[in-house]
Amino acid sequence: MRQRPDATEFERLADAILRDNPMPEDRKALSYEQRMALKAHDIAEYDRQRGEADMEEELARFAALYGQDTEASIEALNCRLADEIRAGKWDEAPEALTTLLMSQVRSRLKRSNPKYLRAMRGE
Amino acid sequence: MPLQQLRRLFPVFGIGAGKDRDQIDTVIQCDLDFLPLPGAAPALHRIATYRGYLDELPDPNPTLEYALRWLELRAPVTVDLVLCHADFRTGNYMVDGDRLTGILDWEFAAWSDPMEDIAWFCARCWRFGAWEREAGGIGEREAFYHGYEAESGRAVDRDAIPYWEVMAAVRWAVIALQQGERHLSGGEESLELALTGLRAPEMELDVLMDIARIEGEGRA
Repeated sequence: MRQRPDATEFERLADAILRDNPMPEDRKALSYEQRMALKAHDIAEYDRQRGEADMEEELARFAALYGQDTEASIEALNCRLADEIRAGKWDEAPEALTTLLMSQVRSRLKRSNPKYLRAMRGE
Repeated sequence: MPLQQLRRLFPVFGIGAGKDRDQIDTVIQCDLDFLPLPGAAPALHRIATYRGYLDELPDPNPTLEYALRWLELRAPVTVDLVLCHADFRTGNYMVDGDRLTGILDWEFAAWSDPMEDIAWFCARCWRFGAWEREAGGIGEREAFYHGYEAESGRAVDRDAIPYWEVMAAVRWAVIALQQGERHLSGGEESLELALTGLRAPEMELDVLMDIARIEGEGRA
């Protein structure tokens, strides 16, 4: 699913902060706002490098779950899956489901918090 | 009855017997009848609430739907309904030396399962990176349980806690998404809110890992 905010918006928000709070020479002296701005830039950079590839991979995962013939958008596929789960249609097939869900979550964490993903893999 | 419930609740937070508790009795004389009763299964009440919140968001979330369905199918019947703080975690209490001096942020207080408060305090999302200190990121889980049991006289249902920790992670994930939506909707431009919304997959990973572990242990 296309992630929001996108790279352009994250960069706009980050640049607005850094205009008012110029980066210090000493990175150890970063303020909370500056750290947020750096994180936003990291996410924007990730989106530019990996955003489209992540969406293609998500489509492939849905194709594995629903079959190759679907031409629905990622958003529509996620809506369908969410509705089906709530209705109990996936109660009997948790493994195929959890494989897809775990892939989705890992993909989103690679973008937003790869450090957390690495930490949890180490548990 | 509310005062009796409060007496039974406070030991959760380590407030001792005697003078401390007498002071609490004199301070808390409020009528809590305005708090709705959740019925025999407060877990189902929580699930319905969180589904309602998800329905208000523009993007679907299959992982949280999966967790909520899992919780729904395993919802316990709560016999021992108590007043829960419902946001008791590290960050919401005050300490002076080794003495608890205050508990903050009571706006989520509700009648619920006593294990919900225990699990919220222990949930991974409230350990602030100190993963190995399972009690609030500050202590050992069993030590916390023993302290709770000694003060309250109520046994910690160790088999029920993992269920409520899944509930805790779902709840914090939904809150994070709501915070993010405050920015995404255009209502309040804020990088902090936008980044808070991006914390949801941390809790989603927690619930997938926790459910897999619970299922593997045959506890569910």
